Amino acid sequence: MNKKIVKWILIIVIIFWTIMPLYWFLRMAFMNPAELSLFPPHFYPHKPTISGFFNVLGFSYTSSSGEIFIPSGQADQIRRGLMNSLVLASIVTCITLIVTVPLAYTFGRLKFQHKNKLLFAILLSVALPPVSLLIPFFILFVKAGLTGNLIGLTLVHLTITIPFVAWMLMGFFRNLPPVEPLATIDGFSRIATFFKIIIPMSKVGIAVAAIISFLFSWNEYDFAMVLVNGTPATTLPASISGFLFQHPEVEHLAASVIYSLVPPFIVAYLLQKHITEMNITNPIGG
Amino acid sequence: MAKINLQDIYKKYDKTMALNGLNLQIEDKEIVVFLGPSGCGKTTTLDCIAGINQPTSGRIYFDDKDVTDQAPHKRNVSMVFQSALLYPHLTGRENIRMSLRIGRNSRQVEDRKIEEVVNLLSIRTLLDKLPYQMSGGERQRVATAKAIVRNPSVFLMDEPFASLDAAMKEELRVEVVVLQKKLGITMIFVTHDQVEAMTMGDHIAVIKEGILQQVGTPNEIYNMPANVFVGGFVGSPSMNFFQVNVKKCDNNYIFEHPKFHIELSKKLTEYFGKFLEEKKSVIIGLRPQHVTFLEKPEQGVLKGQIYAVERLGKETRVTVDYGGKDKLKAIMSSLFNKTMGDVVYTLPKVEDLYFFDSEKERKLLFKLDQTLNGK
Repeated sequence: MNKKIVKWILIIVIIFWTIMPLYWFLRMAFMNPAELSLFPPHFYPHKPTISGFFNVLGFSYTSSSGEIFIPSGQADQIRRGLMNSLVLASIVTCITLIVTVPLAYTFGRLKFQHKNKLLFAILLSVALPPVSLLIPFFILFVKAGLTGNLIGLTLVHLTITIPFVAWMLMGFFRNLPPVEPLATIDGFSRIATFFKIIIPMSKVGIAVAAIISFLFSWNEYDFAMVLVNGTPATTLPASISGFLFQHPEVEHLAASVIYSLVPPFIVAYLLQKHITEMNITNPIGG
Repeated sequence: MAKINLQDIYKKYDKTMALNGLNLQIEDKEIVVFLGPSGCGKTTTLDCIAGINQPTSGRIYFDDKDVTDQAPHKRNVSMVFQSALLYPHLTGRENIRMSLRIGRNSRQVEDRKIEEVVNLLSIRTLLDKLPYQMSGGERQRVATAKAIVRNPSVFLMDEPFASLDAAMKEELRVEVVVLQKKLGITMIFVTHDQVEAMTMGDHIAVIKEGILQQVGTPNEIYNMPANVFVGGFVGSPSMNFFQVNVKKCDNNYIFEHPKFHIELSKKLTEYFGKFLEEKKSVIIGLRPQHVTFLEKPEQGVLKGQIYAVERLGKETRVTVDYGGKDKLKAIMSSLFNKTMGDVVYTLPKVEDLYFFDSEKERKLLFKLDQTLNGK
């Protein structure tokens, strides 16, 4: 009995821990500047308004009572950031998958010479903290003309997503049942086995890999700040940070944070349906 | 519908020899079981026959046609893999259909062929299930259907029952044999389970460390094991072995063991003296069911203490510690009434013994009753 109570208290604490900061921002996004400046703060918006969501994208908003909310000064950057982040994260995800799926399959399931040494090289690049490469990348990219555009940032993101996702997928591929001989008997060539059997079998693993690389690229902040902030190539996390150095527009900051949460939510939701529809983690059954 | 001939198959992995000069002839329409401990090369042999693996040297013939360099799907073999492996992301029907893709049939022909095997194996309810939704036995049936739908000339099974429970194993064992006889397909079955081998095989090929030890019918394998390994591997509990010295005394042979000795009668000495000439020692084998305990101690009998008693209902298995390297295993009737720690006496009867050479790959020298019956 006691155990059950402790369990539920822990669950509630964890939910609170996770949801509370999100809720705090959500409620701020629906408040107007007057309500936001109140102390003690309201736990929920007493006169909710969706003006922030319009203003932050550069539209003015007239409330039902005739009050006019003018667009945010940061709207330009936020719009650009949103666009750039979508493009960047999609490209990074695609390239990461194209590179890592065959790579991880090769390392996870085939035998060849010097495999362990090459594997170690991949592990080593995962082990290196990305921030330690911030300055070297910056110096290199300034000389190569890769600052202030998405190409440079794409390259940087790939250096992080590829080894990490490859490492994760290797474990996934290694645990697939040994269907290659079965496919050989059925007349599939090696390439055909990979494309027609292994990839359809691995939808789940590949989906998870896609989520990880998308979210990483979408959330990445340090490199974006150094390489693209303040340029037309700015990404959403970098452009949101613009609010921190301006005249406080808390409801706009909150609204843009909520916007930044939407794509990851959609991606996770779509792919999560994929995961539940097939139980591949235990293909032999129990 | 094919005869298989393996000639001098060698397979080398890095430094280890998986197959060491394997020669084997498999007749049309029979079941041959490859039996051996894990890692003995039986699966490698099967993979070579299937074409999934290439032998380092040696040739493989199907009906006198050299198929060594042919791709698996050109050999018209089908295979059921360990634990009845299926494509986990495809339904039963799609799994079966995969076997037909190399035939380039029309959809209707494919559907008709699937329909045939579905009726044959009564698996209609499994067609739309994914492998993880099936039980072990159901998966086994679908895997079998997938294998025979192509109408293969050779049907290979690699420890397909490994992950099933005992009752399901027995049921499927019978099913597979009946199916094979009905369809008349040459079948090779790999297992490390001697019961499976004995019950299913028309012939059994016992393999150890990449070397073929013996090929024969289940009876031959059991009653005339070619060497100590086969004798010990087939039969449960396994055969008891004793290394004994051969002495000749008054024209009679005496087998001397530190714990006991056995005398060969004059008549038997006449018959079998030729096998024993110039032998200093031999290995004698005794099956557990041939052990009998004596009422009271006599000169030169084996004395031991009961180490364990296992009652199986129809029989009682007794393990006796006689101070030797191994323990003596015996099968007694269910009425056996001694318990752990009791002292027992036994002397092997000469006519129950198997005699193996103690060198020369420990070949079987002779077995008395078999040889006598043959005369």
